[in-house]
Amino acid sequence: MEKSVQFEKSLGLDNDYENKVHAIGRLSLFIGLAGTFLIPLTLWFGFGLLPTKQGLINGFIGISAMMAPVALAQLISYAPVLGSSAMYMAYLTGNLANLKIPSAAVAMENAEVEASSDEGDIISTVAVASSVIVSEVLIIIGVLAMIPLTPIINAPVLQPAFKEIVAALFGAVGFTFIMKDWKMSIIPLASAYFILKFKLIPSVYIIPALVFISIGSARLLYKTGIIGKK
Amino acid sequence: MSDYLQIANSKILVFAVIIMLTFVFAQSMIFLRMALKRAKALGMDHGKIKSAFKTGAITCIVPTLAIIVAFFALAPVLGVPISWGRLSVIGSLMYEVTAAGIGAEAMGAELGGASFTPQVFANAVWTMCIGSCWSVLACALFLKKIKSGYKKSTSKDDVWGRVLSGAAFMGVFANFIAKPVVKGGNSLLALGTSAIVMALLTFLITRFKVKWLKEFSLGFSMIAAFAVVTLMSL
Repeated sequence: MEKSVQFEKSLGLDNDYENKVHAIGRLSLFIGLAGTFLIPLTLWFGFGLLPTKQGLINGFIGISAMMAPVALAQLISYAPVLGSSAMYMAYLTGNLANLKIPSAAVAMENAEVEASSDEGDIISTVAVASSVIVSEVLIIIGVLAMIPLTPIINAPVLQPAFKEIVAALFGAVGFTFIMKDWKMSIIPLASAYFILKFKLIPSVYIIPALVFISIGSARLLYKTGIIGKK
Repeated sequence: MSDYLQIANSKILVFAVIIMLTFVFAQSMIFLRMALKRAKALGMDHGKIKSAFKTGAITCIVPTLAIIVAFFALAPVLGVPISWGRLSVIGSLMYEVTAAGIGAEAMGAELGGASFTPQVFANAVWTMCIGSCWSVLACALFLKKIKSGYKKSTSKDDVWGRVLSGAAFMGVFANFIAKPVVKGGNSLLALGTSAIVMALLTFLITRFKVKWLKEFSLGFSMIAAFAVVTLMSL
């Protein structure tokens, strides 16, 4: 009897706390997201710098084709790993897979708590909050250290290398990603090669088309049991 | 090329980034305070909380160094404040470079190339901002529902969800992997070097269990690619 009263009490506390977390989390994400537009708005109103309408539309289509289909899938896969407040912090600051999630996981392991428990929720919140604060401070230090180094980085001899940032990034990322599930990468990679080599479709449609091809072929491979087995 | 960099490195943009970061700090402090209060109400051991704070702080150092290396690579193209701001909020290095690349390509130009005019630069910035709306809005709108769903049915692993997400990313990556292959020259050299160094590092990490190297592997691979391209262009 006493136990059930206590249980109900704690449930009430749970809901109060959870509701408050979601209210603050949602509000802060809306404000934070609006805040990121300070940069392009400054370019617009401060310097009169705007992209062309067609460029903006094409950019919107290209990036949305990549981000929209995965946004929900990603959210569903991260949600059970972190507590709600940790999720809101991680989504505002980014770098989930390479920073926030490892920090929370190590902290929960050290504290010997389960991710789904109340204690796990608190531990992951504390760990993510401290990693947000420390990492932002470290980045500020890095930015300050860059100023004396700027002339070196702007040296003409380094310019050919800087032009290849995207190629350099995708060499390493591509390797990791292909190795993760090489069976899934063959069809999209071959399609990309032929589409680009023979200029089969206009450049703005390439990424949406490849995402479509990739998801379609992955669905086929998944249905036939070639990929997705644990 | 240099005229957009003057705008990209202007003080007013630094100011905009500082406003953004102040907000990020405020959000963390609010959630931290709420969690501490709740820990007290639940009667949690204070030592555990302290150790969680320390663990979070230490674990993030190495991945953050990788972000700083990325910042050094991004700043010459997008300017200091934008690279700093974008790498500090939402997204990741991979997302930011991809989004900027898509924004540039949408105007028929290339990131950091000769065709990267002020207007193209503006489009890259808008694209970076627009693209991150999807995931942040998804979190703001649906996390509550998803969380309560998970709470009800303890664990229902959706394998297809993971496959779908991986496939969507592969579709995008395929474009950026195949492009340097088709283009050849320095682009192919950068792609190949970066992939080979990543393969070597991955081997070292798994064979000798050099865990700390894992966080640096992307940064090291990119720097190796830069070094080889620079040497071959001399």
